[in-house]
Amino acid sequence: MESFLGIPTEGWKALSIWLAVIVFPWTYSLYMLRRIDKSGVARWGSRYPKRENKEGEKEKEVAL
Amino acid sequence: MNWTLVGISLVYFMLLLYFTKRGYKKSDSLDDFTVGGWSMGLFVNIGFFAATWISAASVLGVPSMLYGIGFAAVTGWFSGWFFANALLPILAYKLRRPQFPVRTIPEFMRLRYEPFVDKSKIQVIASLITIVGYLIYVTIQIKGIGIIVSTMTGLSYEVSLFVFLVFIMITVIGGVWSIALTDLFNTGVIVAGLILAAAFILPQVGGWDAMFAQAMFINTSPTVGAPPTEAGSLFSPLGTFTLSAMIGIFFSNSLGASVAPHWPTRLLSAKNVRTAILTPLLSTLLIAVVFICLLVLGIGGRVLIPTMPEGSGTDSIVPLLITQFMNPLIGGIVLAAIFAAALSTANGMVLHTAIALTYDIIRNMRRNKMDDKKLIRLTQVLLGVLGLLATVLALKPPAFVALAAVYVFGLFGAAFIGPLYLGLYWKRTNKQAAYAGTIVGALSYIVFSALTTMKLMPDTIPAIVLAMLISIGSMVICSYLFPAAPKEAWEPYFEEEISPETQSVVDKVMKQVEHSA
Repeated sequence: MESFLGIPTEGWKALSIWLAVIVFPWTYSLYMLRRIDKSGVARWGSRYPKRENKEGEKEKEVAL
Repeated sequence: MNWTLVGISLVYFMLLLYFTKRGYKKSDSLDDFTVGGWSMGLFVNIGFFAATWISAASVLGVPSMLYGIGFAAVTGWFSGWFFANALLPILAYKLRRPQFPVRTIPEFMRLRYEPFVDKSKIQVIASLITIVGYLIYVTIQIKGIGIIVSTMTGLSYEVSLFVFLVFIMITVIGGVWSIALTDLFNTGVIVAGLILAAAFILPQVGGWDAMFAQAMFINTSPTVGAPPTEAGSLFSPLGTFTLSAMIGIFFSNSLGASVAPHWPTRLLSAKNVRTAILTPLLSTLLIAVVFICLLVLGIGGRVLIPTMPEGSGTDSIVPLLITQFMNPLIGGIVLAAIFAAALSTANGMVLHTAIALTYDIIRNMRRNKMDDKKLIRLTQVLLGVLGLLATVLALKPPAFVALAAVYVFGLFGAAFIGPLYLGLYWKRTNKQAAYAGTIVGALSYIVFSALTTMKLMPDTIPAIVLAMLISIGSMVICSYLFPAAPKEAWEPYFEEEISPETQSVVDKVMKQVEHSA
């Protein structure tokens, strides 16, 4: 009986779909989180919030 | 009397009271009561999300499916439900953007589609769909847990129902904060209980590898009188289903669940967009651990009991494992985990039903404004009334309730998927589209489901997929037939800063509660 990690290979077909569905959302979610950071909007949870400079224009804080 | 069980119940009850009290103390305003003040951190929100996600239906139903059909349950059900989670970050990314986010999903319908009206009918329609769906689903959850508690403890079914009602009432009375904190505790109970259960069953089947090796050769019938399982077929990704049927099952399980109002509400309670996105992502990993334990219970159960005793269905596998293969202490903890799973799902649904009634319908349609405190008090009274109603219905559920429960998430999907996703991602989506999408989606789902159930229509394409396609199609047509949505409707979800005109419209709607007469 062919198996991987103790589970017969036939069972891995179903498990791979499940694992794919778990991994899949990380792709676009990480992209969204990056967009939030780039936006600099503090209330969205950006790690690099914008700050006002003397002229009242908004600029990004230098990344830590 | 089973003193071990009594002891575990008392400890569980005391800890639940402690978390309820903490939640109650955090609830100072209507925002706290309805949506946790949009302030929950990642840790609490994950607990809130995961406990709601894992219901008694999953804890008892997943091992039952694995026992009967093997890994086909992973393809159609595990993957389908997890795909619903995969869609939630897409909702979260837009839904939590506004500076002053909505409190409920029906309120989102109002602000996004008819921000200028004094009394929103789309908010009422969305609320009615929510109320009907949740009342039916909660009734079935209460019935399920009543049967389990009475079987495992020896209490009568009726007493078990009312014991469960007391627990629901304790946890909901403080609103979303008390549910969130008790859910955090319940997540711990569920995860610990199920890991313990799997760890206890694995040695009895010879360990992980031996369990699957033995399952490969199972060729008995799962239940007395059922056709025997073909050796090796427990690992087939399709089982006895055709490919099209399996695709249908996958989408039926995923699309509806992704927009059931209690999920977006968990995204709303997060303190910011980042937390809202990370909540379903990280919760999925925790829930996956739980599902691996359920996999052990289902497949391990089949190895230990190749055929269920006469008169028992596969859904009795977990109670059977508890009574026959676990010592009283472990069994009691696993029972607490099942109870926690049922409680954390049912209490959230009862609260959303009551809030839909008071906040989205009564406050919305009242001529005079309602004071925040009065609204909270009315919601608390209704929580009691609705909990009691669901419990009374669960005493002897009418036939239509049991039948309709299967279709609740499909109804949510058909009614809400178009208005939510199009509303958040397509500026043009207008009021007419929202009415058409919600009403046409819900009605076509009911009609298609009835026709396929009566075998008057082939079920090659599932009713939910058809209904959603029609709903989205009607929304696109209406969005082009009628003028595009005004800026005040879409701006909060698309722009970083909103214009003063939009701000004044949002303030007007939201302050109907804040600055009460």
